[in-house]
Amino acid sequence: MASESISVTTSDDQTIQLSRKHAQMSQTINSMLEDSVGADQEAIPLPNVSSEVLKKVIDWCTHHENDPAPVEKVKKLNKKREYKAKNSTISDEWDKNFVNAELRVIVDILLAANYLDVKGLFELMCKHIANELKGKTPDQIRERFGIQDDLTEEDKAAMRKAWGATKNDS
Amino acid sequence: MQIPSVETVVPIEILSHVLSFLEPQHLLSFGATSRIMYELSCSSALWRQLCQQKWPTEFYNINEIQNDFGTEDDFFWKRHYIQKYLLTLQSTLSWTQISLSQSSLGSTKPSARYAHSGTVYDNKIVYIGGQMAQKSRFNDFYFYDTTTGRFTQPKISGSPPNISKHTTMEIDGTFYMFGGYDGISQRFELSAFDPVKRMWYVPQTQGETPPSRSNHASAVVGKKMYIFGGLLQQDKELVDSNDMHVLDTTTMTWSAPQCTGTIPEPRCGHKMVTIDGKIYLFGGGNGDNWANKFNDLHTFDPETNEWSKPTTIGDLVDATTFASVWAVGRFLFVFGGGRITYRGSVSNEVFAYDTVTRCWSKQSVDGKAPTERDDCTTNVVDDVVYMMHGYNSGPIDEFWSIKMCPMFYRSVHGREPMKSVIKESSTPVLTLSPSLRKMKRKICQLTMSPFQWRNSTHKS
Repeated sequence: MASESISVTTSDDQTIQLSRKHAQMSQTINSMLEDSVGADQEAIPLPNVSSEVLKKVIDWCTHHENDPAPVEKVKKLNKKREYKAKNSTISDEWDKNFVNAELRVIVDILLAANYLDVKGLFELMCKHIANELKGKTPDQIRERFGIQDDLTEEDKAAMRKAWGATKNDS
Repeated sequence: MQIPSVETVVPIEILSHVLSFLEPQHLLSFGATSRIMYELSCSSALWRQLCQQKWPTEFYNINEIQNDFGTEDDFFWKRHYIQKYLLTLQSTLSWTQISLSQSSLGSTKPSARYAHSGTVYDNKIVYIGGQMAQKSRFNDFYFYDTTTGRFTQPKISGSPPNISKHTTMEIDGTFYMFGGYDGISQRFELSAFDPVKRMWYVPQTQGETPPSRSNHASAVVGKKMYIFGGLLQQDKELVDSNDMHVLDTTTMTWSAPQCTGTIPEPRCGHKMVTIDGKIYLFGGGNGDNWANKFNDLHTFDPETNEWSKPTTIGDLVDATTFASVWAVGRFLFVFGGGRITYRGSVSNEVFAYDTVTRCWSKQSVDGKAPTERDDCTTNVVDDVVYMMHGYNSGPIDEFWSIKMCPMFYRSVHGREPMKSVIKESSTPVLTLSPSLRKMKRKICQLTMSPFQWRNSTHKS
């Protein structure tokens, strides 16, 4: 019987214990565990995740530990020819609170969720960033996300003309 | 604290996943922040998904469409989304009647007529012949200059017959007229007209000249003129035909290709236009007293000589014989013509056919529409569709136009309309900076390319 607790080492050399259930919510850790079945459990190195961020990830896993497993989306269209639009609405109140953080933290969690392959968390962070982009002018987006403006005035004039195309699309 | 720049921290493939949650207007705003973000925001994958979300019924076979069109250029999906979206708006196309009585036009103008031909040459449309009644035909040539809005009627050398129900196609500066009816018989084969020297003549050809006909349809692909169907005189009887003939103007040789596939039924009063190297045939009818009228669409591939009849979806196209047909980008438009719903009546509606999704839609056009009619000529010059005269219980003398909004035009042609360049000569034409043009990166699976706007210069 495998132990109920897993040790991981973060980028800042902290060793953190997490429950097997939470560990398995990360596909990355889960496959490492599967690869080392029967071997002595050593702390799993996570060189890309800091302890601060990992704690955030564990917080999210704790809240979502009883979520039903994500169903693989069937890409094929059903017979009614319906296509479900991608929805960026965050409905869970706890999640809404969770993403209410500095952009730096958000990006770190997003990268960690990607590296650890925690699907639900990754989707949540992507949705949140998408929501942050919505309804903002290019100037506001640049300011919010620290994007370097390297466009010429001609480029901008051309873009303004083009994007007026769908400005009334709600 | 300085916020780290997103593009340096977040890998591109993650960013594009974030962008997949955005609506078009947000995506366009995002793209206007920097060059790399612009490239990201144009991704085929994102716009393909947006097309599918916006028009799920039309894009039900998106994989097939991807195979047929998706690989042609990196901007295909974005462009198609924007054009389709614009066509859903009332203001993208608008009707204007061009006054024929203004003194600025001078006294010269074509009288009421139908079954004439209109052919574009260097910002001018040349209207040839036509008829005002069963027994009254014209042999006149009117030049309409779209930049000055003036009609002229220059003297023509040669002696063209009084003619209607012919077709006139321009290839390399020469007009090729074929067929037609002079009130006596179908006896005209090929004639040619030089719009600069204003000379009408009968050219020498090789190969077997197709039998004369009227109410056939013609289209140009490259340097070749294709003729299909029409009414033929055989043993003193008039018969509807479905034969195809090709004139290669480089050698002035006629040939009749061996056509395969689903060849359209014999017909006349149909129209053909070329879109992306393929010929699209619409409508027409056949039989005594137009026993059969068609609102169907056929395509002909000149590379394989194969006809096919695509399974179309969408609205019922209430147009058949003598409709006006024109093409803009990947869209085919139909105006007027005999209705299929009410026999004997003609229409003033516009329908649009998306050659990508094979979907017909009733097209809304802003402004007061012309009255019902058929047999009016349609010519696209720059951003305007010119519609001359026509017929409804009698010949019509009205000159109408449909103007495309600049955004739609730009999306189709990747540049400004010529005329607005001429008018606003002080306004610089959109160009992209050399560094932007050079920049071409391949990041992950996303294929990206620089702006589609090109330098536009007026060709004289």
